Amino acid sequence: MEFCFYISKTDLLSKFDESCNRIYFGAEFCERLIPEVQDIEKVKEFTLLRGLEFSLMTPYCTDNGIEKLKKLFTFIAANFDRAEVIVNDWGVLNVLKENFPTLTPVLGRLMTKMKRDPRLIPLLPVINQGSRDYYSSTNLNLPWYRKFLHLQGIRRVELDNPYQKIISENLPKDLSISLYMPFAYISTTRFCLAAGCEKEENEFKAGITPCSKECDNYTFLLQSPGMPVPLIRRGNTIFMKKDSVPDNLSECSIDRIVLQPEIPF
Amino acid sequence: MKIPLILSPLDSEHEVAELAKLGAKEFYCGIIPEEWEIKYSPSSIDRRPKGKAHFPTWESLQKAVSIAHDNGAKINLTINEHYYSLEQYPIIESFIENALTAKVDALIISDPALLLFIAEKNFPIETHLSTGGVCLNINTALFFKDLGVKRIILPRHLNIDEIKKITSASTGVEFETFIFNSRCVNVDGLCTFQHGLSGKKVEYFYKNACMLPFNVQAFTKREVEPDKKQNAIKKQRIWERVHIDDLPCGACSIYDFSELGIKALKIVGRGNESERKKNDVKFLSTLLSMLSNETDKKTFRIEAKKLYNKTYDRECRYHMCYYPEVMES
Repeated sequence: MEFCFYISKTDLLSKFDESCNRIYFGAEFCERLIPEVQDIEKVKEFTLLRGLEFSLMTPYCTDNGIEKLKKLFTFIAANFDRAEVIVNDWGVLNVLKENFPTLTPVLGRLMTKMKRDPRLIPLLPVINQGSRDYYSSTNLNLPWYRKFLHLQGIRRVELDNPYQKIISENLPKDLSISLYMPFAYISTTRFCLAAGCEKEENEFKAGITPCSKECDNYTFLLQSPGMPVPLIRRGNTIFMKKDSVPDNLSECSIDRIVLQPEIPF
Repeated sequence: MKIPLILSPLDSEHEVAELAKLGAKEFYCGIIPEEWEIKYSPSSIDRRPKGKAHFPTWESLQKAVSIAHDNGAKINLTINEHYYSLEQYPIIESFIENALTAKVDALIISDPALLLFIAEKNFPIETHLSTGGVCLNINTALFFKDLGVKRIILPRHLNIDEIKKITSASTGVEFETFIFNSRCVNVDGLCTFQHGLSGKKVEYFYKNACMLPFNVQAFTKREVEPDKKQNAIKKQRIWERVHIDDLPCGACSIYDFSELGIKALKIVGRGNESERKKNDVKFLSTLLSMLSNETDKKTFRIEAKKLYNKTYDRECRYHMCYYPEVMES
């Protein structure tokens, strides 16, 4: 089992977990948080000193975000012997395939479709078997889809750790699988409620609005009688926390755990 | 300048003729096969729980298609859950065959695996990428064009400049934008909450998760003034205080969209009462006729706002504006 240390800011390098042999670095949910080349240089030094592997995390993004990423891809292709790019947007995959063939694409967790709604927890025992199986599956068990992913250069796909059991038989055996822990993403938005949140006049200003990266400072805990577990909102994304590993981990072809020392953003 | 067409929601064959007469040139709708409902409820084949938002039978859908075609309009059918499992594909295949028999004009799809399936099986039907496919950039448009889509429904989470970048590239696909109702809080294709977990009686499972009442606590790395923290907390509760379907509108942007060559303007609202659907189509038709009269952009926006305020008895509000940058320009 490979363990990876996933961070979005270089100051978290100081918390590096020595059991990890790979660093995930970058922004997963917001193109405004895509790092600069200088940040990647810092991470590169850190990985070289410790003999660590490197994966660049990338978000879903607009064309502006893609332009920023291209600069990073150019730097990484020139400066790392082997580097992965975690892709959470089909367009980003297209750019990699067309222009950066030496970088290894990995299908990120936002691309592995699976319901993560915690309200499924009390429902699962009472709904019918077909639905239960559906909620425990992904589309990764479709042979033609896997063939397509192979053609796109994808050899690894990534999963969140939802509360429902993942059916191991429905996971691909011909693709490597990563599991994110302990924070699973549930939903994300470009109408970020952290953006400008300190100003009273912004109370009803929900849209793609300017921000001062308030997400760096704020984390919100959301609790509701309608939600079986607390939700955590950081920046534009809602997460839940699940500490326990799946019972059937060894049957699931999971060979990588992506550890999140803090809630990513 | 190209005048976009109006795409209206549709739930019954009885609605077609009048909506077409009022100006709808295309419709979109859904149907949940009985076998699906028995096996897979509460998951839905098109992300809408069974009920008013679906045709009851394939026969009724076929009638609707026939009436639409007689009125020079088209009908697109949603099969746009974000993913389907292998076990579900026999129902999916039969769904597509029924859609072909009913002569629907296009399928609206989110899942790339389903697009691949349709291409592999050579089903003779046009495909449109649902907003659930999350096309936020030119490269994604090209990716899905290669998978055979003719049209891309752009996410609600793009501003006009970002839409302009995508549409001005030579992607060879048509584009559709949201224009009215249901300004979803989260990026559709990246939201993993399940809608419609129960009927109305169990409120917490009936409501969309984003609109539940939440007790919010804020934690900060650095100390902040209490007032600022309170403001931050208040903002987190916006979607439980403001209903996301309180007549959100993007009508002022129609002028921009016609300049960008957007093919279709989507009114959300499957499951809405027929009268509301008619009102929405009529509202947009009136605005499109202003475009035909060569109104300038500034005048168009002023008139669009006036008409919205009058028709819906609502002021324009930032959080209910699909493209709020227009309000600030």
